[in-house]
Amino acid sequence: MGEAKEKEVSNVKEKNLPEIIGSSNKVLEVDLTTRTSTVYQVTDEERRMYLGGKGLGLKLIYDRMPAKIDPFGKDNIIAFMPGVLMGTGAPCSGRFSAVTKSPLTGIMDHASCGGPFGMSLKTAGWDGLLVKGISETPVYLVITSSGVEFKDASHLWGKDAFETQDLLGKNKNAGAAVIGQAGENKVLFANIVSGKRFLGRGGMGAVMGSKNLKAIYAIGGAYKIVAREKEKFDKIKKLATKRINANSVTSDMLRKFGTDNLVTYTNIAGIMPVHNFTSGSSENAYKLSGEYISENFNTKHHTCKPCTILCGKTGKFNGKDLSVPEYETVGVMGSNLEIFDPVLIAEWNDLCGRFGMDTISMGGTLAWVMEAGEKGLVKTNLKFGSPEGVAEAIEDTAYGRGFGQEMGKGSRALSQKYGGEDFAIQVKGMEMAAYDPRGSYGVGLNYAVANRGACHLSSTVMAQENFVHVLDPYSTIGKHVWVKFFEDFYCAMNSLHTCTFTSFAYILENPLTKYSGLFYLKLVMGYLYPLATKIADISIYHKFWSTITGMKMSRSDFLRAGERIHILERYMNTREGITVKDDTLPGRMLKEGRKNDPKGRVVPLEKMLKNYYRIRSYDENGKPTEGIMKKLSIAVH
Amino acid sequence: MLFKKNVVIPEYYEFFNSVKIISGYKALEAIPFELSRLGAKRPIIITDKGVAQAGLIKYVVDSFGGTDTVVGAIYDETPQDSSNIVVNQIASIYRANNCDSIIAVGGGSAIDTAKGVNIVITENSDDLLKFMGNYRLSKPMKPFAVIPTTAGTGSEVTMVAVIANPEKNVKMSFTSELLLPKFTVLDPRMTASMPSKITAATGMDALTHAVEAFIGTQKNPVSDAFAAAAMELIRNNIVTVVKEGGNKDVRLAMANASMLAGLAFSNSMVGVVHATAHATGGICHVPHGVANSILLPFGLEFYIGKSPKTKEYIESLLLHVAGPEMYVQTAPAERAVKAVAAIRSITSELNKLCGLPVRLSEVGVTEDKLESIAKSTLNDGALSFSPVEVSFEEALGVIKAAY
Amino acid sequence: MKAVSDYKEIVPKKKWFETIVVRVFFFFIGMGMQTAYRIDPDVRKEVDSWPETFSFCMSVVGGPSMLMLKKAGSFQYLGEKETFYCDVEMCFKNITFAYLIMTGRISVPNAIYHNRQFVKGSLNYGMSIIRVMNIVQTLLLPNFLARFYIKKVPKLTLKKLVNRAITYFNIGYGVIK
Ligand SMILES: NC(=O)c1ccc[n+]([C@@H]2O[C@H](COP(=O)([O-])OP(=O)(O)OC[C@H]3O[C@@H](n4cnc5c(N)ncnc54)[C@H](O)[C@@H]3O)[C@@H](O)[C@H]2O)c1
Ligand code: SF4
Ligand SMILES: [Fe+2]
Repeated sequence: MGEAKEKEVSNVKEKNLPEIIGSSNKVLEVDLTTRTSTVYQVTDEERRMYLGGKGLGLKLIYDRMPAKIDPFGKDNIIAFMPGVLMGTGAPCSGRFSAVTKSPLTGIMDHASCGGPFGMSLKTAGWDGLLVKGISETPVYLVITSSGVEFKDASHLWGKDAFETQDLLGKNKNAGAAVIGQAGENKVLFANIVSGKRFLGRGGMGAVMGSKNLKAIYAIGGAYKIVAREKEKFDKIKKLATKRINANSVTSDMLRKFGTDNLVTYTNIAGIMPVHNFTSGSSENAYKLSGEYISENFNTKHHTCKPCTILCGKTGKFNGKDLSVPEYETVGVMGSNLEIFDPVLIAEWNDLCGRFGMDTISMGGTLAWVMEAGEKGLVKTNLKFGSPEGVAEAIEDTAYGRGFGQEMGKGSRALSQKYGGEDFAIQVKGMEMAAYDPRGSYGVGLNYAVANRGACHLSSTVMAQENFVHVLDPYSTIGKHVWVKFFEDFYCAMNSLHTCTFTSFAYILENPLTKYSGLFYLKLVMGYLYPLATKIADISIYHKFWSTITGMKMSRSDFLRAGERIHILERYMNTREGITVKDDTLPGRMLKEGRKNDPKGRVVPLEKMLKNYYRIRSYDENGKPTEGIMKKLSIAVH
Repeated sequence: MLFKKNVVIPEYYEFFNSVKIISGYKALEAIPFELSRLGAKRPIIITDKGVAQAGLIKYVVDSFGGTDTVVGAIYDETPQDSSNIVVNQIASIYRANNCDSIIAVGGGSAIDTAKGVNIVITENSDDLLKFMGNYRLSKPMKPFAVIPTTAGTGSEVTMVAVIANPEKNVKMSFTSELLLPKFTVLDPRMTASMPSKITAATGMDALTHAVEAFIGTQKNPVSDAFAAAAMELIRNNIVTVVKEGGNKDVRLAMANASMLAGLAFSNSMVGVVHATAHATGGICHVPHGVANSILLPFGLEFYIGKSPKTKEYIESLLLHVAGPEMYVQTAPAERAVKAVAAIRSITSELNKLCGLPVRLSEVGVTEDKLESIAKSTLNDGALSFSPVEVSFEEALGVIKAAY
Repeated sequence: MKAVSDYKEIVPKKKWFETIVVRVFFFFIGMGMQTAYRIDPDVRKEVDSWPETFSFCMSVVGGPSMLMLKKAGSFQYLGEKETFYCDVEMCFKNITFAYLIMTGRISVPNAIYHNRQFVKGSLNYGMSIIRVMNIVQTLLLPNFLARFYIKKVPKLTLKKLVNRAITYFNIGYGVIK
């Protein structure tokens, strides 16, 4: 805890710098084709309606980018968006957003990352950076408070993501967002790397690669960010920190054991993927748990900055200092491939990190190839339970060599070519995270309707269903309401922007929730959900926003903004061709029970989906109705 | 009352055994026919170094002569403490040689290993962890036969197997009727070569099984009958078998006794003697039979002082461990103490004959280990079947007395 | 003579009463264990000797169940959660057996001798779990009742009474963790 405090302070306390009170509202727009840049001033109206971060990024792209453009074309825009919290020293505020059109899914993509780039961009005075166009030669950008410089990147081209960052130079106030070889080779799930953290999903790295943009190097430290209502802000900050340190999930499980502590819960609940999601638990899963890893691999904190929860870890694997793979990674690259050796997974995780590739999509694709090999659809030496050839396959994918070229297109493309679509575990082209929806129905709905594809972060109902046990995982009752509530709420949270894990502490440590017994909580959340979504305490979030910007923001305004962001994203996706038939799950989740489930249950999606559409105001094709667009003041174009 | 009512019907009990027993001279020669009845023609033989060096495998292989049964493979490297690694290795040998059945030739170690192999082959999974516990197996197993070469563990008729998992550092135990062999062959040739000290120790293990089954919580008329027969055979033969290892009649009698004791205890379970013996074996690597032999009298003395009901059973025990003459000559009040004395006289005679130890201090147990032995006794599964609740101090008392 | 078609399937009636009783007892034992870990040093000692993330389940074949999980410094009762994996599961073969045990007609040790239950998973912790259960039962029940359930009933002390009160409060209130 002491350590956490120190970090916060060191990042904020700079002497005698010019101050930005609230937010600068300046967005730097860069065109790589013409090598020019302009500055856009965000209006108060846009700020209030879209908050910042993800929301504002989406809105800016919506205003600038027509539908149906090629994700790899010059028209695609990638937006890097810190929120208003960044730089203020609020707990877990070291995170920024990126928005673009995904080459993997062909629809809008948002990702969040805790690397140093966000802070540097923000303290250089920018509330956002939009990049469009295509450079003829490899280029990298240097962003300072005075604008952008275009620099030749030919010496960086071909280098991995960690090396590239080293070559760009170390500077306390600087942070980079770079791509590895995978991004250069336009692997559809290549990611963007900042520090040892990632803009993970949807292939944003390939978008940068298609623009010939190897890296963006931001040199910050030019401004100090201060809240407009300083005293009120400090009070809330104190409360937030107190709640984080009081909550057992954030201060104990995540801080000590990282996200891998979830293995225990998912394995018990049967939602830990095994053998490409044919089974839901394993006797050997304990070897992937955070508890086992921290006991055996001498783990240390290595987190987003600033952060108060401290979930990120590094460890000593086979004598090497490597990042401890996150839960999703040990799930999809471990149990799902039937590999239970943390050392191997850490090595593959490191490989993916260096090449700049999303581990979830990589794992899902590997699992598909293994099963397709088993079924004789493709020829491969990859086999479940055997580490042989996996590292090579990862490398081939990153470089687009041999069959790796096809693996780099993800499991949807592979299954369309070779068959086996039922066991391509993806939605809208994005591979599923490591929670089996057949043991967590709410997650099933979440995967089906999440804007960017099978994303687990769009509404984390598995926590209520299987970690805190307040919702029945096998019931459909109220799930549509919870999914909608969390989608709206997380959209708003990602627009602040702060870490999702704070929600455990901020919401659950509210005295009313904390001291009401389990039964009442179960009753209220499970059956009186309309009431529960009205009273869940999210005050810390909107109060943070309003004390920093000095603008009023009520609970309902805040959730309304979240809803607006979600609906806008959905609307943009429908322009790209998303309809009701895309809001579905892989065949396996709808037709085939888990092997170790004697009842053989599948996700009863249809019923939940219908209810969800109703409360979301989508028409039968899955398009937001005019009514809701109007209500949320989203201009149609 | 000269004879107490010995047969008691418990409130509830279960008894199961399905092993065909083939006992006698040239019994081995029945194997090919029995195998063919089960549709098997290519058994793998699982055994250990000691047994192989004693030349016993030759008898088994020779018995197949003149039939179309062939031996698929012989694995003779089973260690004392078999692990999942060994089991998986044997399973791959089995698969590579297209075997269709399993024959275990050896003592408890080889037999337990073979049971583990059968699980791995049948369930087609090299992950034994999944089957730990009772009743976890469901598929019909491969034809499995056991030829015991020690006369003690009774594993040829028990449904338990214990296999170590060094990686997770646990002793995995498996219980299922499916683990029972289809048949077992007791042939005096197979135990004739056993060294006298092992003969004595394993014989005492068998006696301990019978005694603990007879006074245990789950004693029942079926197990009592087997236990009584076992004790009579042991009392009449254990000394002779150590003296005259080559005597086929006594060897066969002891093999039967061990099997009968196995039948008895596998259904009515063992108690504090085995719990302390397991703990001693686990911590100080004392052979199972030796530990039992040392601890048996002390365990009984502990029971006598603790539970009147168990004391009554121990009184009846005198009839079986010392014979009817001794039983009628002894006043009822002294029978329990006499029963313990009778067992002591057996062990002290064996001590003179072949140096079978009678004290824990003689087998390398040091005083500083006693507490940890007592602690691990408390976590031994056998203790839950002890007729009296045992606390740490009490367990320590038994062990100290035997030290 | 009856025709073949007169022979119908017979569905035995559900033992709903037994099921409810067992369910309630499971709940009490589960909440009791969770509380006992916090207030009873003996329970704490036993549970602390188990590995981190140790899970233990008590269930009836095809009937109610209770799941305990040791995680993050607490011994949590997770209710009647469907479990796909747990380290040790103690399973009663029939609801009637569980009912008789819970109502003190068969003691837990007797149920074990009688083979009325079986264990899935490692038996190494079995003894320790049974000791914890014994302590919890003495915590939950007055001594004259506890006698039916366990072999040896400890002396009643003021501390025990206070702990019993705390346990009942927690059970009634449903405190989390
Ligand atoms: N499954 C059960 O029900 C059960 C019951 C009790 C014990 N056990 C297990 O059995 C093992 C002990 O078994 P054991 O006492 O039979 O000892 P063992 O199988 O370990 O054999 C002891 C030694 O005697 C040698 N040997 C055996 N027979 C011989 C012969 N005829 N001639 C020459 N040498 C011979 C062996 O090579 C070995 O070195 C322990 O591992 C114990 O856990 C199992
Ligand atoms: S809790 Fe973890 S993910 Fe969230 S900000 Fe901290 S280190 Fe990053
Ligand atoms: Fe034994």
